[in-house]
Amino acid sequence: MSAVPARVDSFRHEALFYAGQDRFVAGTLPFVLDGLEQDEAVLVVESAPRIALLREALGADANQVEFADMAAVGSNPARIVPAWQEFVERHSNQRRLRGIGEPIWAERSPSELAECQRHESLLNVAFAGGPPWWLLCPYDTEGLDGSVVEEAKRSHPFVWEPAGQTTSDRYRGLDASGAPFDWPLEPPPASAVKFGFDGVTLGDVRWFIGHYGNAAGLWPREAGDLVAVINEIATNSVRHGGGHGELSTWTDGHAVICEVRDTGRYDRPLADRRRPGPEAGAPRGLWLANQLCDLVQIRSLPQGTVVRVHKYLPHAA
Amino acid sequence: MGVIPGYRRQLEIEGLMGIEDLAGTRPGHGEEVYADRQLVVARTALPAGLRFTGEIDASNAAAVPASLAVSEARDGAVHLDLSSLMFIDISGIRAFISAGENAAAGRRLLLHGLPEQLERVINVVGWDRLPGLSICKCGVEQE
Repeated sequence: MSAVPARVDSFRHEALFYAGQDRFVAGTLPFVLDGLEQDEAVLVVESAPRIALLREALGADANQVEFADMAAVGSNPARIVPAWQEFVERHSNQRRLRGIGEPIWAERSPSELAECQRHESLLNVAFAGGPPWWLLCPYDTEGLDGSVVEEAKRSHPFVWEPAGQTTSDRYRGLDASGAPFDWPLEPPPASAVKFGFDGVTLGDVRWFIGHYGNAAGLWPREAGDLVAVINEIATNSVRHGGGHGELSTWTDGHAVICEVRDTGRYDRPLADRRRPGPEAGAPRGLWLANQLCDLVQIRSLPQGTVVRVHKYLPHAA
Repeated sequence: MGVIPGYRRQLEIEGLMGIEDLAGTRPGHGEEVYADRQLVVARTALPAGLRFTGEIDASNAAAVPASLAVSEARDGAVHLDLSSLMFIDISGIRAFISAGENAAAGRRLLLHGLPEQLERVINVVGWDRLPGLSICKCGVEQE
């Protein structure tokens, strides 16, 4: 076991393995109290029941802790890095800080789980070299598959198991954390509607998505959001992805899913989760996709780039 | 798998799409300064400015600076009626913002009738403070 610092001098990304809700407070309370004792800013992004447990255990000290509901912040896991970024920017000039964030729970769909695991790796890249802070990511080993725990050891440089805190000998490292992402996606079903587009047929893409979304059961405003998002992704294909692409659209009863494939290279791993600045030329399409849609899956494959967007149907949300 | 060839042409034959028909059919439409298959830009007299009807995307966002270049200001203001804009993408919004930033001193661009979708996108992508542009919430439609 390596020595555990009282405070950190760089970004420390640590997984906490606990078994069941009862063990959650035992694992997280000392971490929060240590932070408060050192007058650090503390943000806890957790499920509502776990926030309630931690609040109760903290008593009056809970007033010094910021809480946010992970179901709201991180239902789309690509929105979690910007939330931490905002926390770090708000405090790091004045105070040291630490956070608790549990993005993975048993009910996550397989697609959401894959993006949460990508998110965990990207945290290493997003905060490397920035202000020092300590992020603890609890994993409930009682509800999660063993493979999820294994992956957490690859995405976290430090792990905290019942036996104690230590460096993770499985950690994949900073470079691999931000390497182009090529985890396989389930192929679209046979029912998917596919057609090609180019720079003069973006209007067809919009018309089709709008009507498909409405017919599948999205509210008109939600369908309009999906139109705006797919138009931007298709525009990226036209401008940066070889001038054309292929759109596939289907529904699985839970979501309308649109996938754009092109021959472009996507090699900026945080491009979809860096809040754009005010300058006119900054890229905004993938940021828009993550803000207006429920899940965005980007894959860099030898033959090109795939962007798959999920918009959840109202009754399924 | 369903493959859709000539999708738009099919729609046009069925009469489901007729952006082109919009040109000149709206009451109060002035002289057209720009028209393509999805967008018409026409002068408005009172207040002096332009009305955009249709859709703006990467294929025709250049129509924004081109139209503004031939627009006329009165009392230093160009009024832009966007209430008939059915779609605008980020490159189109960017074109309006650049036009606002590059507008000659003493010339203001006033946006009227922003569609809800446009306002949503502007807020989400962090352009809620638009330099050089004013969003007019007067609720009065131009004639």
